[in-house]
Amino acid sequence: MKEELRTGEKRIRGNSGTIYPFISILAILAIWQALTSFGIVPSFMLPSPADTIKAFIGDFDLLMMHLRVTLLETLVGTVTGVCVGYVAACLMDMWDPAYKALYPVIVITQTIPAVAIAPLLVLWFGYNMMPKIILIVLITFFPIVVGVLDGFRSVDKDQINLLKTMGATRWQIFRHVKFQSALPNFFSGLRITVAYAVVGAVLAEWLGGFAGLGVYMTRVKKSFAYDKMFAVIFLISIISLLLILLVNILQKKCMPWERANNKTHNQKVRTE
Amino acid sequence: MTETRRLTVENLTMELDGNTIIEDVSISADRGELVSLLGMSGSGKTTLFNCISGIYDPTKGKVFLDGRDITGTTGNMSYMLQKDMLLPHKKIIDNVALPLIIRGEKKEAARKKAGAHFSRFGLEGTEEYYPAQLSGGMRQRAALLRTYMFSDKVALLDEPFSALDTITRRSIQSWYLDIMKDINLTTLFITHDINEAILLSDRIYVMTGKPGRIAGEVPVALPRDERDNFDMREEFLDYKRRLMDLMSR
Repeated sequence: MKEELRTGEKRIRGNSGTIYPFISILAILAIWQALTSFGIVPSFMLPSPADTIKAFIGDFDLLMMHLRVTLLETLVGTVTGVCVGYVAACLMDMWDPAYKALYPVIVITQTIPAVAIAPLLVLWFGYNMMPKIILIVLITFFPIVVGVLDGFRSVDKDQINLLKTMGATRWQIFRHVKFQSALPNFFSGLRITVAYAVVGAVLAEWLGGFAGLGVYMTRVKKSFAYDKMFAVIFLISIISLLLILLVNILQKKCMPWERANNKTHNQKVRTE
Repeated sequence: MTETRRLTVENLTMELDGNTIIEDVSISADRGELVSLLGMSGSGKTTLFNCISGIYDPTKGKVFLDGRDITGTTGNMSYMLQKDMLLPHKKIIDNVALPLIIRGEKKEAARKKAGAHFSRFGLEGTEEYYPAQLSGGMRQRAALLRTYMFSDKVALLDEPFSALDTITRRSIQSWYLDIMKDINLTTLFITHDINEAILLSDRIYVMTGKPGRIAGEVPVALPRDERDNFDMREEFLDYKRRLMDLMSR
């Protein structure tokens, strides 16, 4: 009756799989360390991983202070961008004229590079947080709108018809079918978005600001402190990775049925 | 006539994109009756169902439920397809309780009400599972329970058992007839399988042509609970011949 869920084999495969990227990362770090330790590349041009870590520890408090600013900008920008994007997607899904009028405009705005509008935003809105947040909103908006809209449009028509025969309102159809069907697309959009958002914040800070990792970056660059430069690059990568991880955890929490479906899928593949 | 019958469809015509799909269809069903619509694919059976359930607003004609005009309105009767259409992101209990929630009941109350029928539908213990974790037959039963939660008056079943294997199908058919009798449910049943139609129905409408029309009506006289091994008997073949005859006209 209840189908047995086969999880063991997948888990073993998953575990051995995670070793490979660690090996490759360690290998890269080892080669890098060797290049500088043996003097192949002079250390003032390329600091070794050890120097980078030393710089990171030495400037830790300062880095954390700047990080706090960047993260705050990223958070406010992403949340605003996601909300605006989601509402826009709903509007375009409900009302076709809105879709026809807005979709091309949204695509065109995406052809303008962020690097090009960032200085303008700084000129218009000053050195405070505002231009950074606006830039992140602009970056976040697109993947969310496109993802969510695609999700809404790919919903099984028969499922919607079924709810209609039950007398469901548009809101009920959204709440019980469309919202969940669009979640995978929403989360893929969000994953792309969070990584870009941090980079966007740093970029905008680079062009002018009082605090933030981008500001720190321009300062250490001016003083030719390459080890600190690498330390901050390392920090930005880590933060981006952590944010993606956070999105993954959030997705698992929000979509508990995914796991059930995947397991059964694996099992069906096995029995065929 | 209209007053006494549970479901009446009068002179229904439906045009879609300028093509007439069904023309001048009149059918009816009484309380507790199982009426089949038999016809080849493309004869407009599903379009007729969409008109009755209110997804389509028919071009001409009326639909009455207990004498009340319900033409073009949804929410009056339950509908079930060959695909079970369980929502993959909801647990079985929430899928089954969905019609009650749509009707405005509180989630907990709806769950409780739906849960009370699980054992009768052979679904006990599956409440907290997701649809993908159940077998095809169980999913179909869950879909039937959801159909029942939605309306205890009329169920429209569009080839609900055709995706199941023969043995599962047999057991689910006889089980459905039991349930139907228990709750005095009226069922309108689409099928292209003549044997299934004769075994299950009180009456059979044959639908043919393009646009689809009712070619004839065949009542099956034998009471439903005396139909064990019916398909081995001579009468069964008589019915089959008459139906084949109507279909090929």
